[in-house]
Amino acid sequence: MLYSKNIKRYFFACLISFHGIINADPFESCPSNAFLMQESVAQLYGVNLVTGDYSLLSSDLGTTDKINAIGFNFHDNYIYGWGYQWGTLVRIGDDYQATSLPLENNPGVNFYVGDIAISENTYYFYRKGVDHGLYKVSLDEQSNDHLKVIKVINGQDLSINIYDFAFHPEDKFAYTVDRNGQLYQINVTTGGIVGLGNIGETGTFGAVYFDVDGNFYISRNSDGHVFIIDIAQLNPTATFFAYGPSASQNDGARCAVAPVIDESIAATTDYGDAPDSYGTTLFNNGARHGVSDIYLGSTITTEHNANVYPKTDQDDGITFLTPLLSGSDSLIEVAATGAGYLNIWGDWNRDGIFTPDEKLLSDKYMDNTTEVLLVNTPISALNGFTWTRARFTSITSIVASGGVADGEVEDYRVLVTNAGNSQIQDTPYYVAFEDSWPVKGDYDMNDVVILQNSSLLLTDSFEVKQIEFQGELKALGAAYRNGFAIQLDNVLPSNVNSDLVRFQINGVLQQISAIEADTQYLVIKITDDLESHIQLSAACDYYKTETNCSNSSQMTFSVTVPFIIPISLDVFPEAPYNPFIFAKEATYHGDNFNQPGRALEIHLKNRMPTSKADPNMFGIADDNTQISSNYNYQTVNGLPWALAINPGSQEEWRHPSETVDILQAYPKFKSFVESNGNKETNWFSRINSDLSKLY
Amino acid sequence: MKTNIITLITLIIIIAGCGGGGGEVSTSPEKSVTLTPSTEDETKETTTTNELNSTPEFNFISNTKLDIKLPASPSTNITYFINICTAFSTENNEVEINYDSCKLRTSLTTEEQAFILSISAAELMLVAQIWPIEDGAQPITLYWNINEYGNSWKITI
Repeated sequence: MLYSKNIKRYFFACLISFHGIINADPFESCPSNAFLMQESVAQLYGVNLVTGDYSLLSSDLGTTDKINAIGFNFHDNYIYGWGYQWGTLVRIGDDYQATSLPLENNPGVNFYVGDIAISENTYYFYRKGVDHGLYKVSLDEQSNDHLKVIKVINGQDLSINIYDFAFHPEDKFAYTVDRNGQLYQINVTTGGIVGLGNIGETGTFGAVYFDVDGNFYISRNSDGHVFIIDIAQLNPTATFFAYGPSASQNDGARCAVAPVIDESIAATTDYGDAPDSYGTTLFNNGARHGVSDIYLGSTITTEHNANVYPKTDQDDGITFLTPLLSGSDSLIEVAATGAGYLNIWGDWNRDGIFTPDEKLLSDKYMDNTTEVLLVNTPISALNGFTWTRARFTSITSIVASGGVADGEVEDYRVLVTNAGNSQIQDTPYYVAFEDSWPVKGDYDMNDVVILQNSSLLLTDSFEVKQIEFQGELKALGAAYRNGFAIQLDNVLPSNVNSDLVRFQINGVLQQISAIEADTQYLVIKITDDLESHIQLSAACDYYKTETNCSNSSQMTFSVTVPFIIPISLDVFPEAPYNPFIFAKEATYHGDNFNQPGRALEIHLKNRMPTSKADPNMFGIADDNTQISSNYNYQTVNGLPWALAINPGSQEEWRHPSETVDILQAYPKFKSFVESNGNKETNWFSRINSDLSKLY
Repeated sequence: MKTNIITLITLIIIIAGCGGGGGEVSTSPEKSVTLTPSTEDETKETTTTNELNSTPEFNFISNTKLDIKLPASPSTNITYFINICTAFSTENNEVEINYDSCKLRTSLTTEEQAFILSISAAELMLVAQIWPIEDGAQPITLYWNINEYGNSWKITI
């Protein structure tokens, strides 16, 4: 959804209500944001762990000194901590005023490590040293030990250099990281401690938190970096998560049973939309920004979590005026709103990740401007389409993933070519099949509908060095199960540079080869079973053909096929090439054959079958194929089982609804056919359709 | 066969109807034999694709071939790059191009270059934008429309 530029910060304002000043009420709910206590005169901040974005909740907590060792009490929705002004426990309600609580057996010193257990209504606090240790005090007013301090273990027996700890939401243990990066699990019942290994980061981690999924977050005082640790791993390591606030003194608290994303309020975070291998969703620590007055272009989108390709956001900040020319300068146009630093990464080796050195632009300062920039792409960048990521924010030296408090991330799929090469993009085709061959179907032409885009890279000698297909399944109104492939007639498969073939489905790199083995001419096989890539909606028999049967699942594909020896454009086949469907192995595909499998192919009219088609199938039922005359896949009336429809780039072709004959949906199809294509060449346009008969 | 019978019946009805109309028809006898109404009726009558006939050669694909000739680069020191695209809009004399729609993207060379593009019959206009690849670049923008140029476009700068 598009988000207003003058966004109101929700943070705790949405979660907290004020009910009085003298007798503070508890917080209304268990918030997704964390609390952060800072400064020598306590100030309380709210921190969005997702982005590191933070805001001051109160600069006057009713004390003239520090408050430390804070924890959020899941049992009563108050914050508790150690008030240095009074040398005792304090409680903070929704008025942000600290109320001191007298303790029986008060140890008599101040504490900066503390949290409240999830499994019991008890505050635990710790200080190293022989005269101190780990203590607990019940916060349960019904308990006989209410506000009575009990020492769990001596500070000499439990001796660790820590600055905060936090309770896991489920396992009853507290966890902490010392300044050397050692992760510990503390049994607060016995005071026993288990070292879980070094997490790979050092420093003073003054604020640590858990979320409901058991992810452990630690915030480093010196630079504000927030790291995430999966403590369930055998060797837990810290992964950078977000750029948070830095401070000389930090203490954190959080309701550990809350998720870090609160979907009950409007989203305030912007994500990218590249495939998730690049780090896009929160689950994969994706690039994300708190929405602010700094962004790319004139709009910014907000989401609770990322829309991953093939779903997309509305990005408008970067325009690639030329392809990225490897080893050479290229032109991009950048529109920036607000002042900040622009970084752009490119996946030059097309392995599905952005490495720190795969940069196109680093910390380019821009202030409310639109500029055309020269950028240089490494000569090692592979030809073909790849992903780039642009991040614009007020801080410098950021990485390609993780959270930032402000700015925007935009992901773009762009073409990389060599200087001197040409790109010819074929016009897009909607390839629509009837899958009943060799029996005539109902001509609703929606048993399989594929949007097929293709482009050629030419050398400076006008030879084809690479072809790329991009496609999307638009409809699947088939009762049979079908695969989909494209043959490049007269192109030999041995001429494919197999090592550089890149095949993706829904943006995910496929491990299987798209080049079908043992064929006479090159066959690019996308899938053996189209239906396996989509989920049918409830109460719907088909995919996007029935009225009132919408479906949000998508199946897209892309294949890049480079050739060892470039092929002269004069002899290279023309778009739409030779797309075809074929029967899925071991499935019923009509009464004429017994589970024909790959041998049953259905092509566009007069396109040649592959070498894997069974020639004995021709001439059966309504098929009038005459291979010797190249009259293929047509009836005795010359009617096809597949159409390649070419509406251009500015209009999407809409296929007929289920069982609606294409002639009823597009009445001018008749004139087009009977004139051999000389009349009504735009028969497929929206204005020539009966909209009521289209899906 | 079914189509032919229906067409014949329709023609008889139309002709009979016109012939029985009296004076109006006699003042304009040509109208009584025009086939325009019957063509519309034929469209209505042929209601299924199954009734259509096609020659075996016709492949059911429509597109337009466009011959494009690119100019030589105006400079040997600066690379000039050309985008030829189908999706664009103009507002206040500024063109906004959807570069995903570009049919041809290439550098200008020291010699003219010729390409043949296949585009949709629905596409009546193209835009060419030529960029010098240099700091502060400003493009040269040119347009093609099929009504003015037909199926060839010689781009000059």
